[in-house]
Amino acid sequence: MRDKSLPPRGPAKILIVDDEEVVRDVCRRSLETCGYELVEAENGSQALHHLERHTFDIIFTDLKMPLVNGVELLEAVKRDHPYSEVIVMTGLATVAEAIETMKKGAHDFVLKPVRPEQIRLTVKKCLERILLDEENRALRVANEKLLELKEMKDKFIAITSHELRTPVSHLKGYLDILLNEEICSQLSDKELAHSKEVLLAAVRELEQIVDRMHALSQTEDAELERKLEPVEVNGLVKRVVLAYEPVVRRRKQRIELHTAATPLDILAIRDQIQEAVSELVRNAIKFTPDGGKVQVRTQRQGDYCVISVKDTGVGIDRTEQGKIFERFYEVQDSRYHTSSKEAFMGGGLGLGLPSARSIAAAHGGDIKVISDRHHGSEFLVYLPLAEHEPRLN
Amino acid sequence: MKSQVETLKAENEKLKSVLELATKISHEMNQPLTGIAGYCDLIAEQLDPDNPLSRDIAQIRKQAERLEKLVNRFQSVAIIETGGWSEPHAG
Repeated sequence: MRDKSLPPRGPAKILIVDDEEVVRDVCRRSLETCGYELVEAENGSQALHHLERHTFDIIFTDLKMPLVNGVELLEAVKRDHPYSEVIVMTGLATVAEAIETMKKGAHDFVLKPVRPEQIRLTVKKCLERILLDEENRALRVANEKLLELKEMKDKFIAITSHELRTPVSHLKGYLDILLNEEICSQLSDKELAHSKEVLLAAVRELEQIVDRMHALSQTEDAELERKLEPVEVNGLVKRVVLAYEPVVRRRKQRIELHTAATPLDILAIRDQIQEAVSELVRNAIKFTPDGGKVQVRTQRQGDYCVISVKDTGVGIDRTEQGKIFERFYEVQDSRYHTSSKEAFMGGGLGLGLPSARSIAAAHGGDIKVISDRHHGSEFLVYLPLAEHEPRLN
Repeated sequence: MKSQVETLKAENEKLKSVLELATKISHEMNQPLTGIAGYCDLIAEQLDPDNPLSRDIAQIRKQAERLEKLVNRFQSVAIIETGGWSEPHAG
């Protein structure tokens, strides 16, 4: 009957509290055969002592006891152990009081003299209720997670279809032209060359989107270990920076690279590290206005290699610094709204930073950010060095 | 005239306190009753129904139940008579 998604549960734990040994004994003997874990206490303060060290599902207690009595015990349980239930034992004379305890949160009461069958039944009923409540809470949590996932999925679909639209429309448009013999034969060489370029760029853009999604799903793969290879970081970063020079030029920015004096070797999945660094450079360019500067630096810091990408861009407000690593989070600023990938503050999939961080984490490192609004940002990628591995060119 | 009222009052008080004492005692009786009836039940659960002992156990149980009913009746009456309930002491 218990929902399969819930973790298995141990035997129920019951605390029996009564100042009379006979009563405790009868209670214990009655419940022993049911497979519960039983603990006894002589009075309220002993009970509280036990409660400090363990959690009990049910506290089965007399009302009238010396030192701390049943009512005080009930109040303490309800205050400190919200998921534990209390069953009180009462003589007919104190029934009115027992009913009062129900209002204070006791789950049930049994009339004295208590009989074994009655004890078992009351406990069983109470346990059923406890299990139901547990299941309810767990299902609520699962439901929330599902709603979150659904939201992520919806966002993902919306953003993806938006991102894909441009390259796909370019492909369609230009292919229509090229496949139409009549129109095609009338194009000048320059126009033909341009069409081909646009088509290639569109395909490359689609490829990039696919790569990024692939990188994102890959980092959640537990088989990562087997695909590692030696990577020299200075060389890798140099190649990434080179690849972005055309964009930098178009945006009238400057990009500087300072690599460490000695080679920095790590064990990694090359494509992923390349993707992560690309992402940071891409972001730096994106969030820096035309004419700004991007500085990329690599250095050794203890057991780690650090890749720093610093820009003179808009910076990130402190309140957003946590959020930027959340999937599908895009910094929104309507002043600069544009769907262009390269233009200042152009929109994007929002997969980049979270992926990059996942990648760093999967490799045993991390990505940190130092930034403030209007003061630019510096992203630091920490990756553990493969100190004891032989160097490979 | 005045002394009659005084006497009645005094008697009433006496009756009340006797009733209260008796009530406290009957409340106390719950504990040994729990023991007797409780252990009887536990033993009965472990005996085969054709075991000759189970008949004797059933007898003890029946007597314990009689006591139990007496105690309960007394307590209900006591509640009515004292018009409410004064706290029995611990135990």
